[in-house]
Amino acid sequence: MSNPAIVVENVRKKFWRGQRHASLRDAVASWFGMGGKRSAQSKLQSAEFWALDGLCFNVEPGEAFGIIGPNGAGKSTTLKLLAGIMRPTEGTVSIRGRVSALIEVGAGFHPDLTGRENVYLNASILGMPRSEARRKFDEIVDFAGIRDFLDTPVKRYSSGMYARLGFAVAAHVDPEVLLVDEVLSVGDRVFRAKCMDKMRTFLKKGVAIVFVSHDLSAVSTFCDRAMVLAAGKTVYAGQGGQAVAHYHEACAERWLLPAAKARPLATVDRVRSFKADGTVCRAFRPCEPARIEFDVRFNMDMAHPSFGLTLLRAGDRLCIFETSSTRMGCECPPATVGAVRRVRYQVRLNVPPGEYCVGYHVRDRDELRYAAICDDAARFMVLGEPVSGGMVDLSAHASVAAVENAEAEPAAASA
Amino acid sequence: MTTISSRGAETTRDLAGRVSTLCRYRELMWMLAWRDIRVRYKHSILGAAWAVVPPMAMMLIFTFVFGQVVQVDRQKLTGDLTLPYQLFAFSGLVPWMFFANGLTGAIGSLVANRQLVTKIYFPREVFPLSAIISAFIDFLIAMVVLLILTACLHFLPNGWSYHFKWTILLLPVVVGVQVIFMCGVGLLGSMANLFYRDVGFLFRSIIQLWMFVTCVVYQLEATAGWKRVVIQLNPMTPIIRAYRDCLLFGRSPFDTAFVSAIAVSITVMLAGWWWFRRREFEFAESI
Repeated sequence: MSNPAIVVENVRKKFWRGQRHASLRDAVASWFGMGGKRSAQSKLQSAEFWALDGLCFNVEPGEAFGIIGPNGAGKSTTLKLLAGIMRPTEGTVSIRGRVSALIEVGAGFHPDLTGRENVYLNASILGMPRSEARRKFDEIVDFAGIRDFLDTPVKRYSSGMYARLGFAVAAHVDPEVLLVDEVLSVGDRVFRAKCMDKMRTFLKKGVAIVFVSHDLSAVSTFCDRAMVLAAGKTVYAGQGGQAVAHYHEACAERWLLPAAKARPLATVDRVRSFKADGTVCRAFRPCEPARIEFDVRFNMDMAHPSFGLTLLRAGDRLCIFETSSTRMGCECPPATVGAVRRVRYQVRLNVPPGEYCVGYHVRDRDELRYAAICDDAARFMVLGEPVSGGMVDLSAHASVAAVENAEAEPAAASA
Repeated sequence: MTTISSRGAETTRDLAGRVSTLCRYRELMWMLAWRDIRVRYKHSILGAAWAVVPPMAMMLIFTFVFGQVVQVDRQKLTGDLTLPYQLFAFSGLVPWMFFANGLTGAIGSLVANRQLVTKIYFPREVFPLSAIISAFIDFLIAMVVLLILTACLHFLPNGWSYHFKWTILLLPVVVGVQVIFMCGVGLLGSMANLFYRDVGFLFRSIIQLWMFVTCVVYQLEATAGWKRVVIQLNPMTPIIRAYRDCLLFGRSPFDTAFVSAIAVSITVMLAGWWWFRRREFEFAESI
């Protein structure tokens, strides 16, 4: 397509660590636009850093674009640039159409005003004319589901009600570009489903959505494309599910495996799948028994090792199965440096045909940090007629028969 | 298509574009002003009467101080013995309170709305301007009381020798000049306060002093020497005088001093606005 709603080109954003001005002299200098300590050029002063570095992406109308990444990666900064709250230090951000930002729902709420008053106030903050707000008022209130509390000051609202009302107003603005930043996490499941539905309606209308969330399954199911940010740089951009996989790596690099580059704490190899008769096999029939094995070599002492297994559907990286030796109640003796363990899982592949990824993790059961983790160490296929979909094969049998005189039968379900 | 680069969005760079953008947001300005007023009087018994009580109280204080405590010469203080000092003081205090409250609100407005400044984009002028509007509503209420008082004295026997004249129709012009001046100072002050909170603290002291270098509770002729020059240089002096000229004395307010106050007000407003727009993009980062 040639007419994107959002074009971000080579955007860099410089931030300044610490206090703004060290001395009155700097302050006075900067007041007269002489720069002071802050340089406008692309060089970095000692206390500066690039919050975003070389960001490029497009979003088409009717497309949902996800941004994921660990904390401090620059996701919210990106949204603020898109919303026009900040300017890039270098590069350009181009936006076509009316932007609505759900960066923080209810940002414009005043705690002392009632729900009703806040609806009008927030609508106007989000750029909705009062006449339109009046027309949509009932719709907004019904969407939020707070009709009974309309005349209660919002300071007495629960955080869920607050968020619901905030989202309800923002969702009725009719934007052409919608920026959503981790706002649905406070709502309950029903409300989240409602919001997702609303956003899908927006997509159908041709709204471009930029979606920032830590809810990875929401990103992989909702977003057509996604981008992984880490420390201001794009680590990966592409299909939503793939991005989620890269997100795990970006996170693991920063937090879970800090020493991974120097020397791994444990190395895993010989990740293989076997048929029931013990032969190595990478293609199975549905519901066939199989064995999955891998070898772990420890480069550290571990008191309570725990070995995890994950199976992902290769197409969309959906996790279809995961467990660990600890959860299965399997006793694992302590490991010392140089010890090697062979981990074996017996499984029955009750899954529909397709390609699957085998993943593993190794960690002490009392610690969060992984010694080794990978979600795509080996792959196998399940071959056969695609008679079912979804995640599991329930060995279903189907039959259809005609029913005579249906009314005469006692209706057990409605009794 | 809006393009935002390090130099800012194209559409906001020219003045005409900016004015039309602000016009689109005028409803929001009113909403924010309405919010301020709602919140201000929500938990009070007297409610909107609080728009009138403070200038009234100040008027009584000064009447007491100048009349009973220090016994200042009335002729010198107001230039007219037939004019009750209460009315003289009130007619100066009402626009002055608008000035002081409007600016105090405007200067704190960006910081007070930090939530909105950092989360949602719209022209930031909206904040100081809406603070001025909310003070303006109070001013209108107090102004009605002032007009009623003036009218009452008008009908008192053997009292006051002045009458409502056509000059009262010039009041909106005077109010307009004051609002323009306030917008200029408010834009500059709110921005300065965002970068350095000192400005807000300093302003609270300055506004006290400013009242006494403006002819709010005494007339310009009561002062002398270099102090009088200072007072004359202050644009608020001719503005407050213009209120009295229109309302009480039936004179045209357009003397040299008032005309130059108009010029100063417009200059301050344009300079303040220009500077505000230049620094606006830093607000969200610096607040």
